[in-house]
Amino acid sequence: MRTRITGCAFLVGLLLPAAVGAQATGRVSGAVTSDAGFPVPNAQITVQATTLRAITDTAGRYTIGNVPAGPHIIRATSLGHSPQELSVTVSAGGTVTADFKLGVVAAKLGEVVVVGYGEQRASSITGAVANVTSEDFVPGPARDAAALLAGKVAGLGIITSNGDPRGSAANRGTEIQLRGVTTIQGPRGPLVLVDGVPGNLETVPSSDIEAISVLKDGSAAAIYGARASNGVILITTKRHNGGKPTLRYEGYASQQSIYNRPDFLNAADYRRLIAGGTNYEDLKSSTDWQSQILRSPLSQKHYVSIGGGDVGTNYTAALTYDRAQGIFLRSDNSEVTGRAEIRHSMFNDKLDADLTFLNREQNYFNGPDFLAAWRQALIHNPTDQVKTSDGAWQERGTYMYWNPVGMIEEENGHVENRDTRLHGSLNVRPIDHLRFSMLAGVSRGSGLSGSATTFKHFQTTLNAQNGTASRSTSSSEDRIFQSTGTFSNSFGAHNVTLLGGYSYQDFLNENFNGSNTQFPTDLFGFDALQQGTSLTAGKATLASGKSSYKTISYFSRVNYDWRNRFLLMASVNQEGNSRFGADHKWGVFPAVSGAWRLSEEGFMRKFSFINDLKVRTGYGVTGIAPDNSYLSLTSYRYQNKFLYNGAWVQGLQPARNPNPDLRWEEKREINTGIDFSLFASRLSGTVDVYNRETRDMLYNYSVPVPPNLFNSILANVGTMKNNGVEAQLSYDVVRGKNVSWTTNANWSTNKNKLVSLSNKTFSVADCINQGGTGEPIQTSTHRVCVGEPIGNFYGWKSVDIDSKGEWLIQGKDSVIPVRSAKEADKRFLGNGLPKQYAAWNNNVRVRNFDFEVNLRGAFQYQVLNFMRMYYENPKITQYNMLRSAFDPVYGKRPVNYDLAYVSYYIEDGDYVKLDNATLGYTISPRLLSRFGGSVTGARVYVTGRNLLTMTGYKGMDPEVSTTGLTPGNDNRDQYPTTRTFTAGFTISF
Amino acid sequence: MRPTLSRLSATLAVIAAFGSASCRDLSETPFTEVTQANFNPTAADLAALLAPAYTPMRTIYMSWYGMVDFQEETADELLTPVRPNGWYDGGVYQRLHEHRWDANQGQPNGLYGNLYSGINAANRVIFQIESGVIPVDAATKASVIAELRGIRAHYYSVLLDNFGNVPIVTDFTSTELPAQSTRQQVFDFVVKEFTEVIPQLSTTIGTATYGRMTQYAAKGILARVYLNAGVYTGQPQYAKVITLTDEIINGGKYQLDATYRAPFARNNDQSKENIFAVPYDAINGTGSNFHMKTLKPDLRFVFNMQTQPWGGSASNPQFIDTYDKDDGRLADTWMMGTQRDAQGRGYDFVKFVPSILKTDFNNGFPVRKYEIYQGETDASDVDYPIIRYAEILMMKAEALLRTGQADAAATLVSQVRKRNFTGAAAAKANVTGADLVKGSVYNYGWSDTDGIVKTAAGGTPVLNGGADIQYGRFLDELGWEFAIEAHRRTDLIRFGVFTTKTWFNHVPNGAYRVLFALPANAISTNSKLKQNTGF
Repeated sequence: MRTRITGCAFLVGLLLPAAVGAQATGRVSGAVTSDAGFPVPNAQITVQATTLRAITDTAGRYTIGNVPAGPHIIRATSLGHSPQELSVTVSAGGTVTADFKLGVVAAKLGEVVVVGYGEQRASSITGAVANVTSEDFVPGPARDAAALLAGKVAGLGIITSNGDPRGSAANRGTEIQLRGVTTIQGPRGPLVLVDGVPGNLETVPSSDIEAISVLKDGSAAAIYGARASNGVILITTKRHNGGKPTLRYEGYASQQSIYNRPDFLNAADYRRLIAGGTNYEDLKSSTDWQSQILRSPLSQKHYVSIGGGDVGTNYTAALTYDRAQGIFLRSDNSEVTGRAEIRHSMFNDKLDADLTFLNREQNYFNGPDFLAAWRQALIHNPTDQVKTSDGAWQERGTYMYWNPVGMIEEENGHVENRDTRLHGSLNVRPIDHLRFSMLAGVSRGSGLSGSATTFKHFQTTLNAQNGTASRSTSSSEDRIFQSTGTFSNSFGAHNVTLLGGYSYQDFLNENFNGSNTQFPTDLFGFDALQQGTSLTAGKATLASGKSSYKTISYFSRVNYDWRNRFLLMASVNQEGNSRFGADHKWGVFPAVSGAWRLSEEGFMRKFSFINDLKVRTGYGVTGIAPDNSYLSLTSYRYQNKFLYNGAWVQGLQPARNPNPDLRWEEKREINTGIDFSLFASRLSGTVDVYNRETRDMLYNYSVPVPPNLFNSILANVGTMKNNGVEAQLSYDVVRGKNVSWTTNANWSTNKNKLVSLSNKTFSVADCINQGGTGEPIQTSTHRVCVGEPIGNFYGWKSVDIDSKGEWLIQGKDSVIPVRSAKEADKRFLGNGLPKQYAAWNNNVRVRNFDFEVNLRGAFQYQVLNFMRMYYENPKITQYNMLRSAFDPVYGKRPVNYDLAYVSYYIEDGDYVKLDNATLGYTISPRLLSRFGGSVTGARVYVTGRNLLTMTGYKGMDPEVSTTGLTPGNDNRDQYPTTRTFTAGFTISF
Repeated sequence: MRPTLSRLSATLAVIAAFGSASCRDLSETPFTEVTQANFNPTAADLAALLAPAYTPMRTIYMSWYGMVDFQEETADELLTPVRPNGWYDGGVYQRLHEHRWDANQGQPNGLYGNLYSGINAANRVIFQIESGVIPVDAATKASVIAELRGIRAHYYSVLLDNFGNVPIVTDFTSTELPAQSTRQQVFDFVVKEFTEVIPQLSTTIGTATYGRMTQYAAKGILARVYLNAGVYTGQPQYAKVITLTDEIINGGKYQLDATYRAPFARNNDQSKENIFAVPYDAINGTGSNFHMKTLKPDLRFVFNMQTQPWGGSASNPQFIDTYDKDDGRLADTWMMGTQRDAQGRGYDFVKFVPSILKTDFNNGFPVRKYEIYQGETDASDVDYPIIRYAEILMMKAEALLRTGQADAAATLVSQVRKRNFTGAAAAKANVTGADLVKGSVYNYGWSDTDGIVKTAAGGTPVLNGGADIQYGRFLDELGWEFAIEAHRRTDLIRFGVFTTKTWFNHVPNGAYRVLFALPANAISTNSKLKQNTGF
């Protein structure tokens, strides 16, 4: 099968004909400026009724050749400007000039938005689609595409809950959640496509991104079938469209610091408390352990892009170097990404081809688990020393207690990841109105990592390991083939676009890893694994693995409108996934939506302040597939050795409970919305109301053994509902030539309810406890119940503290001491899912200065403050604690009871963050012209990120993870959030 | 020009359609698993297929939440009190100690799951052999099926003892929800299965059958089932205990090891005493980690361990008080006194344990019965003896004692005691029939925070809270001989102590506590199951 696919694509390549036509033609050229006189780059110029077009360069200039002689209408369109048409007459061999002066419009109704397998004008979209273009991205440093969107799209929650610079977006704690929690166990990430090719949020550097569109509702996303339930994010990269060669440089340097240092006891506090009778140990030294592992790191990024060529053949290439350091010693990440795209068009644009190559190399320090080191720094005795007098790390041997500096300094590791993507596409327009496209390509990822501890590490000094070392390598291959056909035409007032297509994608993952301990020397780290003895002694691991899956989809869509007044869309996708069970390999995902543009109606004319008004509604079915392969198969694996006749033999046992009925989790969504643009498009906005129902929810259901082989099986059973409202408003407060001020705000609210978790075959108890407090409290934090929303905290409600310092708990009938509290005394203690999100963005321009401020907040939710639960208890004196541990509880006295999970540690999380403030200065064209006119633009800016958090929450940061079944847990070992100051410079030639 | 393009697009359309039709295959082929399609088992695969019927035992006995742990913690010898490094764990250990477990208690629930996993595996291989999926000759077929039925009966005997009313499933192909059986039916099934297969089981002992279900293993377990028949069915079966134990004794294949430590030594696969053992190995047969639960964190320096032990469980001081100070089993079972390395790191262990709610690391003695060796990792090499020759002798002795033959019983008890009393104390090994009919020396009562045994917290001191137990002295003998061998709960139940006496911070909490609740998951997933009385 794999070779056949390649064959399909290859054959097409061979069939490319080479033919050249000749005709009597002339040229059209000119410049596009805004009504304020600034050049408008990237404006699209089309010769109406032909396929000829051009894009203006950074000076706003364009030239279109090969224009047939005769009269033509030339149309100029640009994002954020009103389109304009001019009539010209082209003579054979001559050049005619057409200069445009475009009015600026704030409303985005005219812009072209990328949608599934195509693009549409914003005004004709019938689903809930949000589009954010580069000028509206969150300014300043961005590690991935998600960071560009934070607070920009109503209903799209983006959280970066930690400051770890290393690894993937997931490792950095980037979470994306669209319209609430819609799945309890399925994969949670959205489908990300980069120029139509599946990728992820960090596939392309943020500087390469031109626009991001988010398909929010089911009707818009359904064309992506069983991959689309968590939303679809379409990333469009910047491309040069030919014309004057350009060079652009962007660079910044930034400094980071921990935003909020937890206030733990210092050595002086220890000694004061010891004098007061507290049972601490004074180790005769004085150390600020947090400072020992923290630093103020510098990061930098440099980006250079070039573009050139002509309308027929053009290229874009960019190189990015991104080096980030984390706030913990040695934590770093560096990435070099190179991207090149060549486009070529022939036969009067009837055929064009596009080839994209991307190579990304990432390197980072693979040291200890920094969260573990951070915990050790927090709990370490401040009267202890970092090193002993003979230079060794001071270790004590207390349970789960290791020198944090030693943990970081004595573990050496390195990760190197490579991602190479090569994709080509071919578009053919054999006749007007018809277009065939084909896309094929491959993405390969490889990773190589190693990690080793020295003889000075506690694994050797305490655990007698004599050095530990491990290596692992992985490789992934993802191949795609896609073909579509589009027919688009107008029949009088009827406009029709038909789309049909096929998409194939397969994935192959392989990995290999080995580890060893008991080395004769620590000189070689992980470079000579064979020199340890544990592997041959059977006490170390060596393992490899391999898995694959594929998805295939057939889809079609029709868009119809009558005079751009009544709009209709219907689509259907038949999608299959090898991970589905034998009887459910294929799912059908239909969608339908419609809109009525009231502003086009005659009776609306009298309301002259209305520029645009559209109501729309849609229904769509999407899915998500299980995130592991082979779950439906009956198979056996070798594991668990057995002593047979004096020798250990590998046992052969069933791999799982096979579920041949396994299929996609299905989401059905109804979305109704209104888009408006008023008062000369000064005020524009969107309101959406949605109702989504997730059915056949993937969950590991408990089943009886026997007849089953294991006590759980991944099956499609439960149902969950989410409904909510989203609103987005934008207002041009000032629209002057020298001064402008745009403000926009968005708000969303969501209600979640678990409807059922059982059917005839599978059932779970009406409530399932979820989440864990960890050792030593060891109880669950949340309870998920049928009929209730996800995210309820569940435990003992503390109401007071008694004279001995023990919690008093609200029991079923009366207040009881915590030591006699029972399971039955537990109750719901709040909910970790914010009920409302809001953001407010302001952009002010005064002459050449621009100033942007972004505020973002979440409201009506609770956070379980693990740090207080663990470190605000003066009873456990073997570890350091928060200074607040000695504050009176309920105004009475400090706690004198074992660590416990009680409601005292659950706090309101409501916050407003000053997320970003940026001040920029654009150097005026007049000044630039002194450099000989080769410089077309230059800007300098300073940005502050995460400047201020206004909240009553006492922990480090109330913006905690909200995905999964345990939202609102601010975990004990949480990577601290950081504040970043950045200075940057951009110049283009 | 135009025709060329039209032809091209037509070709493209055809290719697209063709590609579509031929690229619809969504079947899966795993790379690291065996499927029916790529596996044709032969007789040589028998060992691999047999393995899953045996391997659950590694999880059942010496592993986290295993039998050695909670069959003792629910009884009067072992405690897991709160330690400076935790061990509250949501009250899971306290619930066992205080007999407050419910249908969500992890330890019995884990046991239930592991037992049925073993039963499932046995049923599957029996089905595979009977249906010819695994081609074996007739003789092999008979002996392997007998062995699997024996293993399965062993699992059911544990279900019988712990849960009583459980479903009996013997057909691998059945997809029906299994129906519940009564404790009597489960007892009858276990007896029938063992009785039928015993003649076909191997009588070879040694390497070839080590860790496997032999005729002697089956007889020993069946004798144990009969010994407890009074508890299970109301009908004691002491005569059958005597018959079966005599068959093993007269078979002459086993003997008491010279020392009490030998059956629990790192090389106890060489023991002449162990009849049926679970082989553990630090590399190949991992899972034995009870030592991690009982050794305290800094003992890693004393034993040069490559891991830090977790440090929870230790002895109940009241049980330690029952030992004769000359009984070698005291020091062979418990790690007492100063245990420190050359640098002085370690502990001075004391008998005193203040409370189940609060202790220091040195309160109570860790278990050293299963050899703790230098360089031990988190997986022990020591095999677990499910049944050993000493138990055969003691089962016979108890059956004799309970059928009025106290003196004959005393001879057997003295035989077991002999190796534990040496030198000047040698004579103490001998007990008489009159001794065995006495009450227990165990001072049952509430162990208060001052270390004094009382009627209740802050109550009046108790002097001998075990004097009223019938054959109490014999129960004491069982305690000393089989401490921390997953026997104590069953023994206390048989002697009527389990749900009637107070010890340490435990007070009786209902006669129905002789059984565990069926796991909540089992009940919620099988509508045919009714919860055990009381839960």
